[in-house]
Amino acid sequence: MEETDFAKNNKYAWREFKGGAWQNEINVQDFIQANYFFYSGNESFLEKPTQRTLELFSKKKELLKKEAKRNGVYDIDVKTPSTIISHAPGYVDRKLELIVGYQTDQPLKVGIKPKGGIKFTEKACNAYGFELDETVKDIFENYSKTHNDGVFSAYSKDIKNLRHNCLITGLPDNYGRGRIIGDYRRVALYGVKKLIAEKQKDFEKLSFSDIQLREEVFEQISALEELIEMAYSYGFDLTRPALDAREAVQWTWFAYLAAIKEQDGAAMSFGRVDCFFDIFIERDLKEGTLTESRAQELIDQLILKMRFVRHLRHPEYNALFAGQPTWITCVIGGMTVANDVDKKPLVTKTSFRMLHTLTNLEPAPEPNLTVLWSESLPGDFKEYCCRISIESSSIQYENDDLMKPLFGTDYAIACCVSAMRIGKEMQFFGARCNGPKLLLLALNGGKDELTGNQIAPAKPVPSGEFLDYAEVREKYLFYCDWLAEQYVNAMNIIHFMHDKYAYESLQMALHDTSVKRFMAFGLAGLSVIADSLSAIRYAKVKPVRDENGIAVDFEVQGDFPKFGNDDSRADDLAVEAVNAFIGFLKKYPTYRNSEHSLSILTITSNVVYGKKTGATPDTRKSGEPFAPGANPMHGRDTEGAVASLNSVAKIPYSSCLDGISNTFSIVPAFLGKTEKDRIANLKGLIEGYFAKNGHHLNVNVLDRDLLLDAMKNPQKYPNLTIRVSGYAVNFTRLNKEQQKEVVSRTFHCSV
Amino acid sequence: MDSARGKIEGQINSLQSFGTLDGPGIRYVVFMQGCPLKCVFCHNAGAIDLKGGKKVTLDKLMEKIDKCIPYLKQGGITVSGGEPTLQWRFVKEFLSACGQRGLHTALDTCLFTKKDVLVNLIPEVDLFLVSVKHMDAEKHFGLTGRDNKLILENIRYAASKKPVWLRYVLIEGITDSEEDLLDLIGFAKKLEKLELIELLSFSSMGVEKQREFKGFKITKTKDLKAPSLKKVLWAKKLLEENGFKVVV
Repeated sequence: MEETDFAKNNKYAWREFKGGAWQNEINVQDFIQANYFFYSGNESFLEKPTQRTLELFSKKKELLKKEAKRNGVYDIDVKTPSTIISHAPGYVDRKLELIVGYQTDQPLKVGIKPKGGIKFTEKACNAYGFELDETVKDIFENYSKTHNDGVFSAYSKDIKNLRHNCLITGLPDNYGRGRIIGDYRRVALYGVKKLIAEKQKDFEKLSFSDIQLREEVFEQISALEELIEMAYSYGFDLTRPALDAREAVQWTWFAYLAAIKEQDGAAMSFGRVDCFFDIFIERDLKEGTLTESRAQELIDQLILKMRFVRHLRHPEYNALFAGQPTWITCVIGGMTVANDVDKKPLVTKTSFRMLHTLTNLEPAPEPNLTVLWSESLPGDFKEYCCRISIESSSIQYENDDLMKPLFGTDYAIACCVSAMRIGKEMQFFGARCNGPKLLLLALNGGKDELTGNQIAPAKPVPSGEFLDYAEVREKYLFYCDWLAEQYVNAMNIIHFMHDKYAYESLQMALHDTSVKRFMAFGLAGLSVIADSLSAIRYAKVKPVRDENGIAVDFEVQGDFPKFGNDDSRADDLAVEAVNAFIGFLKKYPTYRNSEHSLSILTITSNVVYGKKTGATPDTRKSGEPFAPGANPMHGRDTEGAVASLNSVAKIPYSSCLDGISNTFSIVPAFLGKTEKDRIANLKGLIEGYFAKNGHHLNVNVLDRDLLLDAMKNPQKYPNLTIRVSGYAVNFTRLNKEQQKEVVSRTFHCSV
Repeated sequence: MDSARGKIEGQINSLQSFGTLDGPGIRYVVFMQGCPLKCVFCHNAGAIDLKGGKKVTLDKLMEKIDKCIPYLKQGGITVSGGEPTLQWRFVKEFLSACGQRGLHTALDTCLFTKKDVLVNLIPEVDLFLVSVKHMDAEKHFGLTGRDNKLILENIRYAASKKPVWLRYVLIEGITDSEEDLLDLIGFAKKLEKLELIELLSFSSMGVEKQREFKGFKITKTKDLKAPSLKKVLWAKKLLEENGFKVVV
């Protein structure tokens, strides 16, 4: 291959690397495939944290204590809207910090991002006892329109109504949409100058028929220029590629940092860096400029940066997504897919080093460590993952064998379960709708069961003393279709306005100019829908109607099959519910021709959703939480964990490309008698679930008594991390209702 | 499976699709209904009455098992109870169907059964999980309401044919004296295919049972206690010194 000028100029930065297509085009995947070192051994090489890391860690813990004392917000800069270059450099301790850069001039000090919505910025400041600066308020109220204002200019009465009645909750119409993963690695491999040059070339080629994209690429280039300026303020030259491992980590961190200074999207994931960093680390080890201890130090210190990421959230947001998650999701592992014969695990020593941070730096919710599990991963790595899961309850697993045929070999996970090719695909995030409430609409002729408001087209309520399955099903599907149209309309408005008023210029600068977009819809309460329909079909369900004809409760006579017992009678109803919903969604065209996708994921919103939903025919009482994600309802999965997993594994991934979340809790003693047994059995469980085409599994290994004690004595458990739906959270930061819901979940245990 | 065999029914107490404590690896555990013993430490008292539980056909049960096979590669299935030999015809067919699928089969049994029944079952069983409640005949009667002669004979026979895991429940002052354990060791040494001994600590499961404790000083279930951890470790060491693999 002919050497380009750029390759010649970067001879030193790229020394020892095997060449290839990646030298002539922006192609990190090709670089990784050509250069990474597969590691098939065990964890015995891992090192403890260095003295420097421990000192930094202890200083950071002090700051976290202060933050907790201040109601979870250390400080807010109420004057300076955050941009890539808005703030001077910040440090905890320059001597101890190997990797530098915080979002503002002080660690844990939160910036404001009023472009999303000025009202909510103000509300969030007030909630924590701060006053938003008058000038900022004036500018965004009177001179510069925000995303939130834009959306509400275009919303219809119907959309406002269903939003108000909580049929759809959590739409990103008053906060950043997130779920976009920049390919932050590009900055380390190529340097920003090269990335700007490539974007300029793209710009020249753009037609005049897409003026929106022309403006966006211009914005992307400006953002890259600001990235250079931001790094320069810390004393680094990002115009050129990284020269060693430390720079590779630092460059990548700066790229991510610029993204989170510009945006406060719900989930701002980090992507996939284990193999990428490992290549630089291996080169330094070979050159004798790095030791294993120093290599671990780099990773430990990067993880410490991630744990200090903060966004300003308002209290309603926290009710939905408890514990202030930032979803800095990092995927680890997975397989190459060149072809079946040559496929190789993407497991390196740095895959281990990243998981090892849970030991070196104690378990913590962030980053959201996500193992891409394949049957073909090396046994030692699988066992190590399972051991750390058992020790920390801080890892989630996703089925690489299911995703790689669709997303290739260089995808990552945004938020919890949303796969996308890094730098090539993005999504328009759309929260989720309340499935059980939708079913109740069908039983109440389009009236909300709690307010009595007519929020959907009026239809006669089902006839007869007992509900007839065929009639209910028909009405349910009618309202599904109606909601799908409203939902797509709302999403089109939101994302048009987000692009217009709060465009992610830096993150999109780290994408190809031409990207594929998904539009990600969501459905909450799937197991309640399935069990309700099952009760109507297989038992006798009599609605109890109030004076206005609203079904306020249900009398159920006889038993009925329940989702979570590997019983197709109930499970098929769940499958039909998702297939029908995505089918209806696809009827309605999307903004920028994005591809409709669906997730069965609730985060912690299953509690709020349940609270705002009346009694359902499955015997769930009014206000009771739903199960999280695609989980069976608490305590109804009575034939054990495997049967429960099998039910969830039946939900087709092809209908739910945005992910199917399953949270699994098991008592340690029930996983096996010895540590070796527990590791082997957890491994067997994950392997079985993924062989059955399950998509995602959160694994918690803990005793319910421990959680009950932590509710009473939170100070005893500052690091108690548990997996909820798609992310990990510090248990003591959940509110009481959320804690109760977690405790009431099925803990698989013996009789 | 031919249709007549598939239609036979078992009286089943419950199903546990993820068992990790009854044999190696992940196991699908079928708890059969009915038991001839009345053990003081019974952890599944609802399974004692043969008339309880629900009827399940072999076809239906195999349909459930088949869906779980990917999880059971390093494990298998275990038939427990209750006492599975009470319904040995059904159990034999079930074990045979699992064996045909290449699944490892374990039978968790007290072996209080006729030798004929045992002889019938042995070809279908890969591993026996058996327990000695007490080596002393009278004390055994006190703990279970039955004599131990038949049980001990059957264990010896089973262990001459198939691998055996021997379980022993430690109850403070009842089964944990040095003499009790030396008797157990003497018995276990003669078991040909014994693989390991599992020591279980007594757990009342919170159930108070009115019963007679012939041969013991205590009179009530609530007086039964788990031994101290020190005692358990002592027992473990004693067994290990005699050449046994021990799991606690």
